[in-house]
Amino acid sequence: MEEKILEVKDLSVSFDGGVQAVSGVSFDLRRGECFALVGESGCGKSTTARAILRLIRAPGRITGGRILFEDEELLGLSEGEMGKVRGRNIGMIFQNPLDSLNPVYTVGSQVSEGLMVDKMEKAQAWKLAADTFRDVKIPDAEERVRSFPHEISGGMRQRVMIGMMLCRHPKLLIADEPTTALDVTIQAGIIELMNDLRHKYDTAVLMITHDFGIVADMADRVGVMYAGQIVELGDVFTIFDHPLHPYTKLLMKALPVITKKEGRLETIPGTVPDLSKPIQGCRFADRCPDACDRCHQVSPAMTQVTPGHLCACHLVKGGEAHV
Amino acid sequence: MSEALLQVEHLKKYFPLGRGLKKNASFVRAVDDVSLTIAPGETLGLVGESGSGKTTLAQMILGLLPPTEGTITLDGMDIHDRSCRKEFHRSIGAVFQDPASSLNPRTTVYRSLERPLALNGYSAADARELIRETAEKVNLGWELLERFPHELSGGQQQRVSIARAIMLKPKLLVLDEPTSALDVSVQAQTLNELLDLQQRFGLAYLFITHNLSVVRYMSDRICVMYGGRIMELGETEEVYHRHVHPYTLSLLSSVPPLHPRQRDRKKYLLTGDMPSLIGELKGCRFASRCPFAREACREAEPPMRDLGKGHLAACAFAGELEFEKG
Repeated sequence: MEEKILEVKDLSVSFDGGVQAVSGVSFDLRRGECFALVGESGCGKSTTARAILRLIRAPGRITGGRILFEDEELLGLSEGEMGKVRGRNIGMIFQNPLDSLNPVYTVGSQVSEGLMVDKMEKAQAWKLAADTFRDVKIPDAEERVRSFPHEISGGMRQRVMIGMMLCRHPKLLIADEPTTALDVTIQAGIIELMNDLRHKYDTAVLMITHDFGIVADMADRVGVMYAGQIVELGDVFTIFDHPLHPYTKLLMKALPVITKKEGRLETIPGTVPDLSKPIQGCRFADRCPDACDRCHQVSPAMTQVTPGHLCACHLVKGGEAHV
Repeated sequence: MSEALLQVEHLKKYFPLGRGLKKNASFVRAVDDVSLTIAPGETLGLVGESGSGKTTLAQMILGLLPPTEGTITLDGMDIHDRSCRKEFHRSIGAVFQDPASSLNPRTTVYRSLERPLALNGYSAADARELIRETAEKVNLGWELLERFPHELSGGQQQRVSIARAIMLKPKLLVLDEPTSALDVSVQAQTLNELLDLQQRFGLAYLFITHNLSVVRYMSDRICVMYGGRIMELGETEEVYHRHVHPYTLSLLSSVPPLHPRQRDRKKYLLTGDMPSLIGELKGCRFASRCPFAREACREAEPPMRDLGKGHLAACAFAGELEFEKG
């Protein structure tokens, strides 16, 4: 078995008033692997990502679980020690790069700032920043380091962010919807860049997305989230070819892959449950076409169906759905 | 086509830069010589990257922006003809991307729906009847109408916007990225509802989106725009499987795959940025990023070539280029 770099065990995050945004999420990442957390808005995927870096702000609070990065418990570190993990060991990029960049400094100085924190000389840091810009395929790298964030395009800004994170060679990069704000043509370039650099530097990637297309293009393994829980987890090919959880199946059929002459898209009736109230039984039961009495009473645990393929559903046992 | 519901001919929108009255002011050519038609009950999908002029075109068709040049005719009515202005606007409805910002946050949904009816001379009782009828059409529960927009989910808000757009029984609906802000499962619901409405009431749609799978599901014909011009136009499956324009090829090969097996497909990735649309433009607008560009492409604007069955492409070498299939 390859070495585990990150282990998240039974992570729970709640916001004031008792909104259980994330409850009992467990997964792990191996060195150099890309793991995708996929789900719809409000399912807790971004909250999970932020919790790993302990970026949850009040009124939110991590209420339970463990986060082990290279066998070190991140939840036990002091704020100062955590600051050294962020950026150096675990990098993170967000959806809107303009929010992450400081408008009054040049992009080059922002990239080299992180390097100087690692005790690098200023001149050398600037040189490395320019090299990084070439690495992320920004044209005219020497010129661009002196640009301000508003002077470059959205795709370039996201490349700057990726470069800023990767130049310190973190072992894990968390990417929270990095291409959602970009055009599809720009998105394709960013995905290709992330795939190239990931292999070049052997960086593990935790990809947060709502887009199954990005999952298909990048991920080695996938966790499907619904209402604060992972409901299915497995190898990307397994999830696409043999999805087992009713939610995963329905979600895949809701993707517009057909023409209107070929039929209608599958829809999921109902809405996501209110997470501020305690929920009895399976969280998907109210919307599930196959739900039985047991589903409404007992919450299903994640159980292994085949090696590496886990599913939280009473109706799924040993690889076949019992309906 | 004489039976066209909407006819747009040689439409241009040039935004002046700096002082508008200066003699040699320069212009941004946001939409440059676009002609298209939409038949009754048909969906025309309009795709392209940001800045390709999709929304500017839609705003001109809706009468929200005056065109610099060109004509727009809807059901025989000219957009400039003041005598039928009210009729023109009643025949066309619009749904925008962000449903929250197209509804007034300080009034109930019911009031938002009632207002356009009041302006069109409906009595309160008639308006109530019509709102009830329309809410039913889009599966919007009556109890939701007394709520404020923030008390509704994104999908419900978008259904209110659709209800408002179809209330006065328009013939054409302009849908500008109607599902981009919605989740996959809600998007599927909304798209299905739009198709049902179209089938029941014979509505024509101008469906603007950057999502190429959504546009394939919804459209009868697809129009691909780039830099303010139409690059390729034709029946949906024709554009998807037998496209001849290199830009359409790049756009389609940028779409993430449907299965991890397609990861290693042949990709035609675009590099660089969209060219500036300011000032005199020479040659094909896509030439600077086109992997197949030749000298001739930079010299002269390519004519719109007709490849039969209404399939048009603005490429000098349309039909001659060999695209490797992924």
